[in-house]
Amino acid sequence: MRKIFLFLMLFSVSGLAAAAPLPDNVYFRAMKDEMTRSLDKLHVKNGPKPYYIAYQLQNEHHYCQGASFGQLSASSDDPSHQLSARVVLAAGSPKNDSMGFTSDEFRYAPSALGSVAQSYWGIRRALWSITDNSYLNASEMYEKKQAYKRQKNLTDELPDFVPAQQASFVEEIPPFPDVPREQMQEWVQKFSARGKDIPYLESFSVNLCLSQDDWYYLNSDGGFYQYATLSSSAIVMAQVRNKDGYKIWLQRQVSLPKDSTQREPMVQTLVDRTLQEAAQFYQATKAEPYIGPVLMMPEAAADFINRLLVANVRNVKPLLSDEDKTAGAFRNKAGMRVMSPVADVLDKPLLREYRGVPLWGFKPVDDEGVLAQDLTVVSGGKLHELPLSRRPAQKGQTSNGHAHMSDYTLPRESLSNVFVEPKTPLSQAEMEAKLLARCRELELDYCYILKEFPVSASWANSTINIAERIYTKDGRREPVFGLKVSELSTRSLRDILAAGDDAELFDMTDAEYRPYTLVVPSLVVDELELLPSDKKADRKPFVPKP
Amino acid sequence: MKKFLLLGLLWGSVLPLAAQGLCNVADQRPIQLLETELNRSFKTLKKQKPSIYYLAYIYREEQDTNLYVTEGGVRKENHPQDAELQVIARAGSPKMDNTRTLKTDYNHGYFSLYTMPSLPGDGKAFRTAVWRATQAAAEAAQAEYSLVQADSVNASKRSDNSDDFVVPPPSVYCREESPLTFDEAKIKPMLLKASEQVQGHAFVLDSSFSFTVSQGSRYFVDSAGTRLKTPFAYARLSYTLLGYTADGLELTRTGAYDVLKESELPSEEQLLADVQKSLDELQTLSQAPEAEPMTAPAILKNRAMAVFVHEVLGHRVEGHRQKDDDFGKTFTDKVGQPVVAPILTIVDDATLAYFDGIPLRGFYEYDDEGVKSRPVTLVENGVLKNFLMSSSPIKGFSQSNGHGRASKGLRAVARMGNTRVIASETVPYDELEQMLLAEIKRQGKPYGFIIEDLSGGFTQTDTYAPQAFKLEPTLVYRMYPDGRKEAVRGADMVGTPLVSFNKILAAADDYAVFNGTCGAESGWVPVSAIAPSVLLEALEIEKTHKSSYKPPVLPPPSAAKKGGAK
Repeated sequence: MRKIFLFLMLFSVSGLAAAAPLPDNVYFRAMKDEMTRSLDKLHVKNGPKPYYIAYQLQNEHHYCQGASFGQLSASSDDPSHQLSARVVLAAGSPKNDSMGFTSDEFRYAPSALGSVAQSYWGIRRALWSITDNSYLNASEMYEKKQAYKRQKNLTDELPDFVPAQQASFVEEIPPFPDVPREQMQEWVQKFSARGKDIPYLESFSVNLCLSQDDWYYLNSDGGFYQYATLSSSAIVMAQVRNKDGYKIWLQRQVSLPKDSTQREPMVQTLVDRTLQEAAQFYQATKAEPYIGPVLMMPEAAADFINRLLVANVRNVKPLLSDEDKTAGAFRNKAGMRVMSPVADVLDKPLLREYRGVPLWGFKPVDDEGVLAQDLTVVSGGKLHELPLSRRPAQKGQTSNGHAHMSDYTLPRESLSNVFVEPKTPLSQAEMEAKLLARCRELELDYCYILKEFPVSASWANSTINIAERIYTKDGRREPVFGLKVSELSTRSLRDILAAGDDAELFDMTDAEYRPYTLVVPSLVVDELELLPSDKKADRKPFVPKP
Repeated sequence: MKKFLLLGLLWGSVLPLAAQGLCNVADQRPIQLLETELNRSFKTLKKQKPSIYYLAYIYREEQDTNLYVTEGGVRKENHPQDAELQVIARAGSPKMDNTRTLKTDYNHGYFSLYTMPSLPGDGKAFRTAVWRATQAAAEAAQAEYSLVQADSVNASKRSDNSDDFVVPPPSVYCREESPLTFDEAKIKPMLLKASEQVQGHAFVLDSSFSFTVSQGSRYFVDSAGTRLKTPFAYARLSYTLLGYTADGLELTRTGAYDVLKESELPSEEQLLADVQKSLDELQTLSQAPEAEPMTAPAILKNRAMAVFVHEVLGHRVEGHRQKDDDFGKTFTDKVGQPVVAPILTIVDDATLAYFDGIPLRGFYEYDDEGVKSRPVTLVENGVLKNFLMSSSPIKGFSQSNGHGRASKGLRAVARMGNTRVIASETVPYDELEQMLLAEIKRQGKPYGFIIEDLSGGFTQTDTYAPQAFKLEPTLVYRMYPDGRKEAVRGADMVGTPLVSFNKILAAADDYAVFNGTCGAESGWVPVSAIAPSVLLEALEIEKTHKSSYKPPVLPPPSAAKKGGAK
């Protein structure tokens, strides 16, 4: 039986004052022993002393099986298992430390090691190596930070790192489940074979993946956690050449439920949808310039919300530098209207599953040892609560347990399980009616239903491959391809007119590769400016497909 | 772009050329499917403008074993399988095609690698993947050719106007091997135990112990009629110990065992003894004085000499380096002239599977352009005779001699296989040391050097860089006139090729093999070099680059485990 312990303990300035027992295993023994040694002895003459250390160990287990046109991929592997280690080390004092500052030489990221030996001494050696490296960097950063503050005449009264009640979350780690290879092989073969006789599909593959991440965390203030997160997903990829010779890759992905009996129909739905979109692309006509309302289906809405909202509600405390481009644009807009009031946005880090699907953003205790709190991020269109860490951006600010780290960032503020919850969810038919009504109001011949939204403004990701025109006159639909979004701004969040009752779940990572989950329904947005993509038709094949 | 040619200590072993395992190439399913697609595509592709005048498929099925351990724990353990296709399309004509070096860019020789579906069934999924890869390769070749055509408008006159390609003669060959099998349940505990030997030693900064196997089959089908199936297999047990001195010098000791079967693996006792010897050497080096820049007589021990020949001469007699005007062409016009000491003959013979019972990593039956390998005498009694040739002809050398090599995803160029140095006069090694002592005294030097071991090095062959080499010894001794030896750290060997090879005074009879992996513009390829120890009249030593970073503040945690921190 799985045992779960959730403890709160009082903040302790030094040492490992654990009100709850640390798990007795090789990971925690190694972390505790190396932490104790480092806090005691790791110091260079005239350098700042380390006052805070946090270790995170991640044991990743992963297995994938793929097939193309009904044949298993000839490439395969055993389930992979890899232990990696990260350290957060702050030198100086909580009032004035080595963190929260960046320079050209150092990324604001933890020292990390990606392949750690699974033994007490192997883990100790890895922790020693990254702690030592981190301390030397911290000593240098501390000096540079002080110099920068002097140079800019900064006399900030805010402490760098504030106390917070420390928490723990402990759960027995289950072994990585036996991989149902035969079932996975059968499914990927069966589903990928559906593309076999479709002439415009140049490639069609189905991949199923199972993953488990075991997390072990301990900090020197006494916070710790140990738990595992499971996930499984299906990915369908199709290379399609349309009748005019344009070639695209369609990639569709779905997170699968824990209950394996519910997985097959979800994979089937995903394959059906991808094949349907491939067929639409084959028939599609090239887009023309458009300004007007759009209906974004959940997958498009997810990238829209991710790009305009979630990306702007993270890294609330800017790093000390001339310009911190990673800091979220909404960080100082609390209380302002940032979004349409048709939906609220909530963050639920303590939620583990949604409709039976494990959530990537489950994070009961954050990476500063603080118990995570649910947040109402947007309410009535106004930015209400921001994710906060122990590094205050304003006087008196305290953490709400949203400091998250990855290999690419030290703990900074971010969201976990983001839910866009409509006040009045509309059915698909009502959403289309709403769209058409607005189109008629604007005297447009047609408007757009988007199935994709560009994940970034970069050239490679800027095109919407497939969309549908819906005509105001008769509701007729017509597939189009090759759209770019022009002049996108956060203004569009305030242009949301309606939200559907068809919320779907999307596992994502942010710009610093911190995992989170977004649950979002389809959205009608009052105005977007769309332009045809500049992409030229590809050359037709020299010889026909076999 | 600067090109460094690197030889690393990535050791391995090679499957012996066995008389067993011959098969019928026409019966091979991958060959059948590749041939079907090639025939279907090529007749259309060759009529295109520009024409795809040559098409080849290389399909590799590979099964690997990877086991890496450190300090009594497993870091990585897996058994991946891969099947990948690479398509080589040449657009234009043999006289001028898409592979020609552009004025502004040398490295346009990358190919996409396609992960392939498995073979059972009607083969349609496999053929569709081949078709898609062929289309992409043909499009890429045509695009490259258009760049070559545009580039040729303003290109200066080439000093060697040879064709870009000579279509290889058709070959048909098929050989299979039984898979190598090892008892990993026995190997793992042995490695785990050996990995714990570093504990108690504060001077060991990091360590890794591994057992790796890479094996499989390569299928080659081209539009000239070549149909090949050849096996490959490499297996290696090895370890690396890393040290770091307070003044920023990295120290390394390594050990490796190339094996083809379980019985060839070292016993646990032997492995532990070898690791202990390496630990002792690392400790000695960590306390050794730092080398001072100096020119002095020296012995290059056999394996060090093997690397020396590979770097200093071998890369400079690769055919394509005589053709492009970007290269220094040290030896281009020296065929028939003495280039090294007259006691030396140098042959590159990739057909050799073993030397003195040791498997050779540079063994292969057919090169990566489908040409049968054969021995090539590069230097005979000190006189340059030949170059290593791929299918890119050069002035005076119009055919490949089976040395077109590349790693996956790169275009083949002329590379070494098994480079063998043969001395016409030899002495026992002890006598060579006596000759070194005499030379030190004759020159009035305070000491000479014995280069015991090299990890590798690099040589520069571009015209805009000095035609120099730098080799990185990992174990060097000073030898004093009284015969005393003292380890030194931080010594690099430097020099220029034409001078260095003429400084060889004598050779010993102690031939040894260096198995390594060589990196150049066509990627990393397995190579071997065989050489005796030699006495050099003069060798230039300079200081090694040191890191400006501080060593760790605290000793490794396990340093205190056995006998306390040292």
